[in-house]
Amino acid sequence: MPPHASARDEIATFDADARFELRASVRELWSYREVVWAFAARRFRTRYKQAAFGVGWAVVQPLAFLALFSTFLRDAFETSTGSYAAGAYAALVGWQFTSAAISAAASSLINEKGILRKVYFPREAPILGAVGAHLPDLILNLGILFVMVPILGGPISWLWLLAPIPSGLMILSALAIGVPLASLSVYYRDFLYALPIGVQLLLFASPVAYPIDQLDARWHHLYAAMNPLVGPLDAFRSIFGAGVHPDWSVLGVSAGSALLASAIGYRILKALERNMADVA
Amino acid sequence: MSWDVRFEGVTKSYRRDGLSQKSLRVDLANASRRLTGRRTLVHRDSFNAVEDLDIEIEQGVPTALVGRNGAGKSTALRLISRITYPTAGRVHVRGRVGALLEIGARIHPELSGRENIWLYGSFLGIRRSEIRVRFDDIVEFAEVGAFVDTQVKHYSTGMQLRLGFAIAAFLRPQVFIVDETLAVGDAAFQARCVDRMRALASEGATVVFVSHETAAVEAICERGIWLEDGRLRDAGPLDRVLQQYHRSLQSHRAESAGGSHLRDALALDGSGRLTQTVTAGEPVTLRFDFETTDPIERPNVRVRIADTEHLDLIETALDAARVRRDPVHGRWSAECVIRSLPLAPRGYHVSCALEDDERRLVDWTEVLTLHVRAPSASPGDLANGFGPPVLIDADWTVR
Repeated sequence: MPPHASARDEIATFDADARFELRASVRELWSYREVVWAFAARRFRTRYKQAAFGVGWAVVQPLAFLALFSTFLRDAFETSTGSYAAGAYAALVGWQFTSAAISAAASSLINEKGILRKVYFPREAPILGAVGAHLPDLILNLGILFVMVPILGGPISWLWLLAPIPSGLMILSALAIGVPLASLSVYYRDFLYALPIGVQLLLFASPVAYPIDQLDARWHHLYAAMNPLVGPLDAFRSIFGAGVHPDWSVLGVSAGSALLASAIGYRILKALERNMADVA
Repeated sequence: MSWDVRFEGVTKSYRRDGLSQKSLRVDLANASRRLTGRRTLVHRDSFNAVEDLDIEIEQGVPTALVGRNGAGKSTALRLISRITYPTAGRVHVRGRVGALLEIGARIHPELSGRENIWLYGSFLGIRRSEIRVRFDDIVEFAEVGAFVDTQVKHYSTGMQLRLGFAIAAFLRPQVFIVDETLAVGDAAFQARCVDRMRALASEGATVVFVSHETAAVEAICERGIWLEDGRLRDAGPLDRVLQQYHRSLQSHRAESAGGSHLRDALALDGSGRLTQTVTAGEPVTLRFDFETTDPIERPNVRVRIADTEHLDLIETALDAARVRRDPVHGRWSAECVIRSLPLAPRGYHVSCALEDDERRLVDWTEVLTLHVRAPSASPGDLANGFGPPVLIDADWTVR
């Protein structure tokens, strides 16, 4: 077999008028899966590189916020079912992951602009890698959550096994917000500067400090549709704080909203990716 | 003959002034116009780096792209390696592209040599099993041996270049692109690169080479493609294309009408040798040959050195030096001696302009590409090509 035979027959065409094709894009991304892995591994390795406390910092943040919430908010949001502290801690673990993943995703393309300008790869690779690099933190925090919930007065329940479902939705939501932000900020850095403000506002717009019951039940679905984080955060609260089934319809509405937002975000990325190397 | 690379009516436009509030307004307007199906607005400051280009690069035939600075060679290479997309038209590329567009282009300074080989192998879409097979060849060619687990930022420029070349050349590309980087390496390495590129060509890969060093081009390539102002000027056997290209360079320098024009610009190293490869910290002489029909009372020659992104780093001018500026006419030269070249190892562009006290006589033109290499015995920080571009000569004391 001649040395280049395997690569010979494939012709790639870069056409200015080419239309976006979902299947082709996904197939290409799959063939670049090792690039996604490389971005994730590198980002994870460098993240806690010169921090003596290392990955411990991932655990500190939800605990610190929990102390804050328990001191000032416990009485305001005393729930009829379960423990406020256990529920709030579960929601904080979810929030910590999602907000960190959004920020990492949004800055991922700018951070990799050196490579972006020199090599081709599907532009979703560093974004997925950035989100993936935060998964170990989430898993670690979920492990600690299992220990903390009984300590904080929450029930032990087989429903804990449902945690991957809301976790998956948090990943999807982080991508839905992070992908278009990453793409747009390659062109205009303004999006990066707006990001911390947006994340802070999102904290208050999500049921982290307060349970969703603060709102009248008829608004729950609208709330979940407008903010895809509502469903999974509420599910964390139900599973860990009260040991009851999550409100599946609220979770479903959030899932739909996250999917729709992801689809729009992906189209924005695909529309903008061609000239990224010229402006990054 | 079948092709490995084909351009069909390819145009690539860039915005001259980058992005701003104004361009954001146009972008937003265009986004809404696209949604409603209306015609989009054109950014007023855009220009075409390549324009309506039709070229074919034949399979297995080493091909040189020639042309002046700004002719569109680099843009063509970026289009082939898919880094950027055409604004109009189509680019077809057969098989895997290995590209070495700049020193350290594929190299990440924070990672070790070993990690870089894996990372960039995966960028090229190569399976891990295949990288494993090629790994030793890469390490051997790059001569990084004992340093394979050292972070690349501690490598010398030469080592980075060797590693970059080895990764791109040994992972079996079908199309292999090299852009003016070899000049920085030493002679032995250059010779090995030429051998490796020939070997790739004989295995059926298509080598695309851009270099201002005619000798290296002639050693490797069989065909030439000559670009001028983003358009195809000529394509054919290398000898013919190079000959016509060089002839046009000479006539271009002679033809600008009336007043003054720049005939030639060249760089000389410390020992007075004509070269485009100079050493950091050593003397360099830049010489600009002009021809002036109407005498100029008080000529002023200005020189700027910019990095490869065309960001100006240094300006020096005749009127800033405390010398008498005598009238000139006919053929005359201005020499600028830089006693110690304050630039870190990598590539630079030199531009020059001619003025008198009232007006600009020759507008800014890019006249030279300079490759700066590290001094042979240099401490690590100078040798690694990732630091800031400008070096200063400073005295330090510790008390």
